[in-house]
Amino acid sequence: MSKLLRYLVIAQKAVIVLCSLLIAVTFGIVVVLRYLFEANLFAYEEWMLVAAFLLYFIGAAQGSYDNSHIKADLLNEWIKSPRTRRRYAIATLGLEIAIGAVLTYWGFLMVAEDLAKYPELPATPVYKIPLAVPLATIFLGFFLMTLYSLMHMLRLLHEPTAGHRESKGDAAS
Amino acid sequence: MMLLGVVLLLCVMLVLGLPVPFAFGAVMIYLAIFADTDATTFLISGYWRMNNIVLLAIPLFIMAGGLMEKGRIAQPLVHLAELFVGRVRGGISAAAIIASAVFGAISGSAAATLTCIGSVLVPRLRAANYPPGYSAALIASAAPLGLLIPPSSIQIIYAWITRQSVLECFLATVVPGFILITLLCVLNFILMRRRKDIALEPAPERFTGELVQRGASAVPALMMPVIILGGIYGGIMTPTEAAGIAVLYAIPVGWYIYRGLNRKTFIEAMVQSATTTGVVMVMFFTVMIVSRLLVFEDIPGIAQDLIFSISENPIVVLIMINLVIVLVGMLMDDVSGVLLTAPLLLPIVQDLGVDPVQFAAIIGVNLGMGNITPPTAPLLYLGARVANTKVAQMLWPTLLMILFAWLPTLVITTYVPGVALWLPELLLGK
Repeated sequence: MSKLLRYLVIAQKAVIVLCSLLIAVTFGIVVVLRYLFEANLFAYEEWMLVAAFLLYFIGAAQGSYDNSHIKADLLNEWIKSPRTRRRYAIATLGLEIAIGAVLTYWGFLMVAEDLAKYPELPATPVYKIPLAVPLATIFLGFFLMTLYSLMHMLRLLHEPTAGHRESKGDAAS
Repeated sequence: MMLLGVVLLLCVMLVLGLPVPFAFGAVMIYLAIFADTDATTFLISGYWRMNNIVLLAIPLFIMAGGLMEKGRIAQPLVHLAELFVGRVRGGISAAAIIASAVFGAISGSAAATLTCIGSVLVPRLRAANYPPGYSAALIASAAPLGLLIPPSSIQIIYAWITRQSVLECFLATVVPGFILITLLCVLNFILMRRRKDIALEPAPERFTGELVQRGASAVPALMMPVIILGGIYGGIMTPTEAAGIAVLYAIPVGWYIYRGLNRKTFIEAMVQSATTTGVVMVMFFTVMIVSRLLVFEDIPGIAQDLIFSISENPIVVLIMINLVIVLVGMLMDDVSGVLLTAPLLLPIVQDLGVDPVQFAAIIGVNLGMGNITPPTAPLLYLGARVANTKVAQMLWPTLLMILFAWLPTLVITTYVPGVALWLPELLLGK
């Protein structure tokens, strides 16, 4: 299980790095083409936005894995007892999982509804990329975020000494 | 009733410590249950709102900031600033303020500015006997300059949701940014002037030679804002394209010139920025959905009636609006803050005759201040971590900076429209 998780995280990191580079390089090419060759990169928005959604939602899943989502965490600062902190962390994770499960379910419904239109799947005008592709990244993102919240909760339940979730939490603005 | 329920639920979820997207997810569930809305359309509406090339400027600026942070691009900027102010008490700390402003013009992100400038300057400030709490507070208070000096991610978002010109919104925050720089520097010199234990940098034997040497070393870093802002205002690139070029420029500069980047640090920077992008954009996604639902439920109209029922005096209404934005800034990050407050409050301030471009500056200053205002204050906590000091030691100096630098800047920006509108009018003929 932990091996599978490790591979999943490596794959996630590879996807987000490749998507980031693809987006940056594409904009470089767009500017160079326009000003040096007076040409346009035709309909690049279509595939670039798919890469963008992959970056957004797999990046968010990575944020859940790292515990770097932005949160106020006010009560955690005030709770002194490690035992209470642990219980509190389990309770908030439970809440997170419940909300994440609803969002994942909505994501599933959204993709299923789109796929139900087969054979007339909505797609982009030029490259015919099905709308279901970026929508699936949203579903996948929420699914992974919920999965990692569950993973953190299980870890807390199995490690009674763990006080509270360490958060990177500096992923601001 | 609906407004009260939403506000209460959101506050409870945030105070409980739920990540921002999950807190807004809870609001979505609440609205799905209690409002007459079809929950299956929530996510698809978020998708259509985010399916926009303009928004790619945000991940690209985050990426550029991350690469510059690892690429040690801040060091030469700090060295150059120190040459001018390093020989007076409070000089190195003033250099931190100026370097934060310059770095803000490069990265467009407060957190990247804080981490980058902080990691370079905190050891120097410590070596020169500056109080650790004060140093951390100063760097945290100066970091939001990254939100005010263009390019600024939150101004791109504000312009996008309120359908204003990005260039005008960028320019609207420049003068407030300079006022803040001046006030922070003045306050810093006043607070540090009596500290006799502060070690001063020795005067260089040949100032001109040193200036040429340090200036030459800083040129590649200083070219970054020239390329970004020159490209945007010269009409050569859109802000999104400029952000892409910033990333492509930061890689060779950080790798071959400043030598902070290598294979390992490059991958680290890319993973870190992509994760930050995901964190910011998924928050964006959920906040966008909720803010659209709130507009459908006519919550802005209800908020407007509520505020005008208390007072119709423009001065009082603007005070209330500022308080609301500061409170939002204290509870959540700047991206969520601007997404939530701009569509809700813009109609109210427009009724009072406030220009939407001026409101961009008001929101920018407010959210910057909210970011360092306890109890939430994300930048304050990040500052404590970067400077390896206790938040408690930072509280008093931070309070002074809020009272004597941030608050006056906010008041001037709110009540003197020319402060925000002068530059857009001058350069773009608004």
